[in-house]
Amino acid sequence: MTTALGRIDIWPVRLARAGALLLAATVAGGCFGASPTSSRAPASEGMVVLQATADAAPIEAGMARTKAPAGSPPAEAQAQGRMRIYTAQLVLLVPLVDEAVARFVTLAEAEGGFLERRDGGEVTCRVPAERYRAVRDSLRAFGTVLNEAEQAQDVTRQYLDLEIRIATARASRERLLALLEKAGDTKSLVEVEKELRRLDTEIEQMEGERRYLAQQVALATITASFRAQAPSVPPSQRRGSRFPWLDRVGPEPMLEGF
Amino acid sequence: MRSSIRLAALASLILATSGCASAPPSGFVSVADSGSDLRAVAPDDSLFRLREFDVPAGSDFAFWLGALKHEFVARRGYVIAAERSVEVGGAQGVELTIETAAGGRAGRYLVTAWFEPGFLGDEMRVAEYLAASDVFDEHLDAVRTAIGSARAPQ
Repeated sequence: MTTALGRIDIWPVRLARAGALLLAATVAGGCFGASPTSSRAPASEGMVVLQATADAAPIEAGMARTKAPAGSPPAEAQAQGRMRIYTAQLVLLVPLVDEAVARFVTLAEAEGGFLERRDGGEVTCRVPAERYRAVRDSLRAFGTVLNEAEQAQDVTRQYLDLEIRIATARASRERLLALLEKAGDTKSLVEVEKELRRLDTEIEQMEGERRYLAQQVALATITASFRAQAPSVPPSQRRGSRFPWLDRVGPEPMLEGF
Repeated sequence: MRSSIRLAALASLILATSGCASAPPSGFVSVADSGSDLRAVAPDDSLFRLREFDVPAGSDFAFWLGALKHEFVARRGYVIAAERSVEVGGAQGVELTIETAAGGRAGRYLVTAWFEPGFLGDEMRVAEYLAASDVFDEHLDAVRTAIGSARAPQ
């Protein structure tokens, strides 16, 4: 007679088959976590349907919020069914740091983003992925770009793996619950419950990881380091140039001359 | 008769080599024009000024480029955000851009300077453009066009 736990031992083989089918179905579909299907595993073996995830919805909602301009990286990635995390870092020379910081935060908020962190003249804002390029380009115009870097990390495979692992774990959980009802002796009952607890923890961890990935994809991260233009020495505190005409050019003399 | 012709030629030469003889950039209105000092303003308070300065004889463009950069960087503490070589009417020049908070607002200042050796003495011609950071680029092409059309050395 096969014990309850003995039957569990052969599940990985079946679930691996189910995972392979799931992988094929998902790749063919070209999207992840978007299928509005039940979270329950079907009764027949070898068939697992992706769970409809509440946390995957914000990705789509976020992407649909504003039409991405054709040809922008997030739009291209979306069209290709890819999931990418966009990050950019800019170092800008600006006349007034505080003003630049305020403008950047206002810009990010106007595009549906928010301030994530500020440390002096270094500011990090999160913006919807589809507005990433527009915000970055606007930011460039704040001053003189001294340095710029950007990354597009493709996490499609990582996300897909998580989806499969979660679906597999959920299917196992359903099986265990069915076994729990049939468990005849206390020892089997305890072992099944122990396995259920372990699976629950594992599923929670994987779902948390998936939520984190989804948020990272939905919101690009832009960090701007604003550096102040060295304060100009006021004309009153400056000795005259040996070439008088030079004293008459520059921003301050120009303002005085109008 | 010959002396009259000579005088007329000299007068023409003086007239031809004096004054900036330039128009303000498109979108600007001239508020003062003395012939050697043109000042113009745009509706958004962007400023444009074109002037000429007599400079000591025996110098050249490289000398004044060095002096101009020294003035801005070493003496006033500015950082040159952008620098590019330009040619104005065949004369070699430079265009410098700096970020500035002059007047208490975030702005950008562009100065284009070129050297013109003359019959009656050498000159530096200087075009300046000052605008708020957010509108600076809007006038940039017009300003460069106006500078480019400043009269060529005679």
